[in-house]
Amino acid sequence: MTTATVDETQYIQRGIPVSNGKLAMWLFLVTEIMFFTGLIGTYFLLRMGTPENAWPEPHAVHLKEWMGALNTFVLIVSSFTIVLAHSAITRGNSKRALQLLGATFALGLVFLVIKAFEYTAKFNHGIVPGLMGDNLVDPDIATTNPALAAELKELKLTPGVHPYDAHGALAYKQDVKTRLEAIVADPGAHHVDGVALQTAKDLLADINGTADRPPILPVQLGLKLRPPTRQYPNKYYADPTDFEKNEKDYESKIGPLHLRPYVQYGNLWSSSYFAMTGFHAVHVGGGLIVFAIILIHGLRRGLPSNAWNVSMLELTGLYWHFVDIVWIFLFPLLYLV
Amino acid sequence: MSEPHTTPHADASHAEHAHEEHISDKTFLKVFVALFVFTTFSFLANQLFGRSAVVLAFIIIMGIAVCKAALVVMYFMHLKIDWRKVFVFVVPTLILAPLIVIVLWPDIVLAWRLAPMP
Repeated sequence: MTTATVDETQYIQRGIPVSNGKLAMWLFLVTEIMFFTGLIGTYFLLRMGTPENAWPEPHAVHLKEWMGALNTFVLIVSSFTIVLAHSAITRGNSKRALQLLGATFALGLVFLVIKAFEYTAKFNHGIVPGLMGDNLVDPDIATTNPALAAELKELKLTPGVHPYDAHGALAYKQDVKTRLEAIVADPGAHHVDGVALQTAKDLLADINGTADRPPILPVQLGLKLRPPTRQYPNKYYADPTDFEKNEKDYESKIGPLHLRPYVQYGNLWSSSYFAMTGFHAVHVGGGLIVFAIILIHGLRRGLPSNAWNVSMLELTGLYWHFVDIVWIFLFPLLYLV
Repeated sequence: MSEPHTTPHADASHAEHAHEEHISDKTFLKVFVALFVFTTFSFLANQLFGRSAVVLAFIIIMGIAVCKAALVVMYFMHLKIDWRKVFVFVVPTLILAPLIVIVLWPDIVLAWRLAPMP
């Protein structure tokens, strides 16, 4: 029959009173909440499961808090601009909506650029999952070399508390040795000279042992390659407590050699860090692709204030706010506490 | 701007359709400024006593993070108005999410503390 005879005032809405798009987006967002809960929850568990004060501190893994804070500001501003864009398009102001959408896109790009800087710095310092020196403390050291065990205890590397991997420790020493030999054989190709080259030769001498001293243990090698921290003074520097000087020392002597650093639980840390921030960056990138598509369409053919476009900006805005919220939690969990 | 709301407390019973209630740009600006201030606070808290008073810093910083997330969810994501429509998806998620952590806690966190390392 014809629809004119249907009495619409008696039609009962049985479903949830939101549009299909909004329903779909919220369903998607709750699945994304579970996805990030898996990643962040695992990080939280792993961190809680390590002995006290053993988790790498931010400086040891080249984490700069101000960069994370800057990224947080960038995302917060971009959330603000996208919500204003939606607000503008509901009022029919297409031009302003496009401008604000462009601003959101630009800020998202800034976020990714800052992230790229951070990742590059990490790779340059050898902070890569699976490739850091880790678990080098042999529990037997407590009996075979008590002086060393006492030294390690001060650095919270008590033998027997952290897992030990004999094969991995020797592999670490061998890796460092191979790299040092390559550097010493051809310093020019590796851009190493001066103080750093001398350090490379000294380290090689330590690893191979000399007439008057035996080859050093993997953990002793690791301590020499350890980045200086404020928390635990490193006895391998002339003044263990002068942090700034030690850092300059490290950057000039050991930095250019690009060796695997020794950070207890460093591999666990870097796996968590790259998994969380990597997936988050992919989500940011996905959002940027969608924004780009809308922007290009809007710049070419305009963004009239119809139901479709209003809904589009609202729903992509929802996704973008979710991405912002994930970063709001990632930033303190990774950079601050 | 259509009728600017001085406060965001739109009463649902007075509106016939959900689109009548909306959050004004001014409110968005206030929320944005609050987010900015909170972020600065948490960064400063970390710089000033992040190392010396670890537990206090953790509570303050994570508390601030939860407040920021709540502000974004309620105002930017419009849940202050839409909550009654979408809570049925969000509530099970918010129950399951901590549950993952709780379920794995004994094996990943406690086990290392209870059993001595070989």
